[in-house]
Amino acid sequence: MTTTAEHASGSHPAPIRMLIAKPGLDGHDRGAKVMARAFRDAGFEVIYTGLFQTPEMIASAALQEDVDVVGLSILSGAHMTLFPKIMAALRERGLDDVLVVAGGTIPEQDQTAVHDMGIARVFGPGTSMRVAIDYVREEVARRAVDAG
Amino acid sequence: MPSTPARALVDRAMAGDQRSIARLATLLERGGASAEQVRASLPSPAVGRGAGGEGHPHVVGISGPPGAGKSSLLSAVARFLSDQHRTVAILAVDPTSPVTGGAMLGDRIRMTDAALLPGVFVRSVAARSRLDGLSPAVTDLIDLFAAAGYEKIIVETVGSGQNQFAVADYVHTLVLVESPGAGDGVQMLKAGIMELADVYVVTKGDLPGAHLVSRELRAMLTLGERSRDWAPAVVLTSAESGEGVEKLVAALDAHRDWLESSGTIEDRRARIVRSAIRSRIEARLDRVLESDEGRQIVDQTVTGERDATSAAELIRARMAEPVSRD
Ligand SMILES: Nc1nc2c(ncn2[C@@H]2O[C@H](COP(=O)(O)OP(=O)(O)OP(=O)(O)O)[C@@H](O)[C@H]2O)c(=O)[nH]1
Ligand SMILES: [Mg+2]
Repeated sequence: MTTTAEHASGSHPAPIRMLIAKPGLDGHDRGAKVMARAFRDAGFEVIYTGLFQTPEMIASAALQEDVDVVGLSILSGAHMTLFPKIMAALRERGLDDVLVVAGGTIPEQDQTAVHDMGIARVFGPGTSMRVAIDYVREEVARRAVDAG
Repeated sequence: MPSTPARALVDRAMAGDQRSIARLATLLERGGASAEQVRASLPSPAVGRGAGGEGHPHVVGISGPPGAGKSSLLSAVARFLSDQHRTVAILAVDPTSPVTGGAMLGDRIRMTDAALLPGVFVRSVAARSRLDGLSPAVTDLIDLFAAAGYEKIIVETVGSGQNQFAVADYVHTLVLVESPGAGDGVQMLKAGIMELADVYVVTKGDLPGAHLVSRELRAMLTLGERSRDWAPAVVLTSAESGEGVEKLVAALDAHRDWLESSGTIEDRRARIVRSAIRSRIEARLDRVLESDEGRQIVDQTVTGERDATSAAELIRARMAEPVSRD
């Protein structure tokens, strides 16, 4: 038995839904806004939640909005404490299959740890938006096939 | 009805499972065969039945100019209702870019904390193909949240001028929002649409000028001919201080009660059902137009092999055929 989702009208694929959130206490959301606009312009439906999001707010938004992907923007250096909490909050709500990516400054030595937490990809400050968008699009499609 | 994935999701949604509700909303928004399956599994449209009471949600539309403070106000309303152990689903609709198909759904910014409260569900909705600021799935989404047992379902739409009233066709109670400084209410007065809303809200009551706007509104409403015996309320609110939120909820409840006691609810039901029928037909039409055969018919009309009338007849015949799972 296949899932109903596969039978959507083929001509216009449904837009990918993406949550973009800025966890943590620093008040800079420029990066998150740039990311949100780039994804919107690439045809995504972007749910932008703004600054100061707690792990609960992010997970609850991902749940109620049924997003395909969560994009976290981080500058504060608090990723090692915040990311595990966010991932736990997502898992608690059964959202293990949601793709999670991060943008912002994450030092080289933390990359492996961050990946192990379940963040699929980190897009550093130098990454082109094109690369990030292509990655998310392909990864969401790949996961939809796997889930089918 | 065979047991389908949609059916199982609906069962879980009716038991209150947020994940299932959210997934069903996605399927309904997607349209096509997946939406038809969900529709077939949902209980008959609750929204046509009544306003308030068991399984009869009160559906409210809130519209007004960009930045008027609608989402902030709804956040405060949700908080108030949750405190009263009541339930509310908020459908926050934002436009889709006709060029890229993308959308920036920003209403949730004002509601991420309220969305955590018991009995509150916030869903951002892109208008997708529709240019009047509403999503083609809006009636289906209302039915979904009705089935999931939400007592109030509030649809936020951005609008200015005539298209802010599109939502009126889908709701029991229409709320129009104005804020100080934003054209000072003149816009809606000019359009001669004062009689359309059931409740008027002047937001940002903490800002200078808000009292003036609400006085002007009240004056205009008393001047206007009153064709109905419902006197539209004007409520001054502040999302900052919480002022007026309780009054607004009371006004919404009073309007719902008036609809029932006056019998006006019958007219509203008929209007909602007409819209529900219309959007189903439109969805079916889009499906046929976008099918291979639909495209072929369009192409033939472009090249002059066929005229538009015969093309329309053919499309209509295709629409009447039972939906196959493509
Ligand atoms: N002073 C004051 N500002 C407010 C109030 N409510 C909202 N605002 C501000 O007004 C701006 C817009 O608020 P929103 O709630 O997003 O308005 P909206 O009508 O939902 O906006 P759109 O959905 O974009 O059309 C924000 O900067 C809010 O902080 C209020 O009661 N008082
Ligand atoms: Mg809003």
